[in-house]
Amino acid sequence: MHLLGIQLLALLFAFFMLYVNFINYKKGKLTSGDFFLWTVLWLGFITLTLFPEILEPIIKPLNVIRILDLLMLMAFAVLAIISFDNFMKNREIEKKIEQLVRTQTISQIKKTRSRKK
Amino acid sequence: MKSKNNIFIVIPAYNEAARIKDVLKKTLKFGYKIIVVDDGSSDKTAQNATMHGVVPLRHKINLGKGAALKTGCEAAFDIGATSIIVLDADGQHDPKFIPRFADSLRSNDIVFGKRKLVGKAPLVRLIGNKFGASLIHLMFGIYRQDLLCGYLAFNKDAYKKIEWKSPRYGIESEVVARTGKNKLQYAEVEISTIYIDKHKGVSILDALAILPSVFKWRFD
Repeated sequence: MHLLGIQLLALLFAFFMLYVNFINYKKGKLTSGDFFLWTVLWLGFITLTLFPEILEPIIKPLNVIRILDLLMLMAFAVLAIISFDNFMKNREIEKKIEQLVRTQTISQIKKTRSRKK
Repeated sequence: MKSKNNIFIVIPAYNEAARIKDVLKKTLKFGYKIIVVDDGSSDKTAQNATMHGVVPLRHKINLGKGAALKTGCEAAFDIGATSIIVLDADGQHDPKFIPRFADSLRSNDIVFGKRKLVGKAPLVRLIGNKFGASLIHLMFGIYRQDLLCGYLAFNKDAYKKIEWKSPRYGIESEVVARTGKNKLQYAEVEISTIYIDKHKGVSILDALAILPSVFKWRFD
């Protein structure tokens, strides 16, 4: 099998990400489900990098010229989904923290007043 | 009837240990109850704000001016305020104008401070203010030349309508937008302009971050 430079680079990156995934799982930062999901994702990426011809049957109907272009589109879609998910979760956490801190602060004034009474 | 007992002064403060005492001394002269919300400062703001007649509150972490102000307002309404006057802790707002705000509140829902910007504010701030003011005018039908002035006053009913969502900077513009949106009765009080530190307050980046929110407020 003859590998192109870009394929080699993609493989190195994917193996590195598999390693990062594994380390985070071992540290307990990822649940078994998360670990499984990301492993499947990166193994899928490795498979497509080694055998890009798998995608050939869907390239024509989608009017995409090259397999690489399709991979890029898929990567952007995955990134967009992850970014949006992060954005929503971040906003939710911000709101919860704000609510928590503000409620706790306002309760100070109530405590002070009830002590004075 | 608004008396001094039910008008509260709310001062959000973040790392203002050096200036807060002076601001409080000048403000206390007018005899209103004062709530200072220390927004998770890393200096001695909270300690320096502890003096007779002042209710100090403290956020455990820094949430931003909008959140601090909201905490202060809710605490004030909880303990009997019917109106609130807001001023900054950095000395940019001269407390001598407080009586004018209180007077104007008798016949208005909300009172905005208005600085004379031309000739005093940095050019970039003038342009930003003009652009923001025009955009808010276009979308909410209210034109305020000094969009970013945080010296303001409002009553309890108005607060319910203008209750801002911006946790950080942007609350001044949001209050103007919601005033226009809810067609509240407002007035402006001319105040003197004191630029303490050109790196404090709303930066160009903050202003750019506020921009998309303007559209959000329209459809909230």
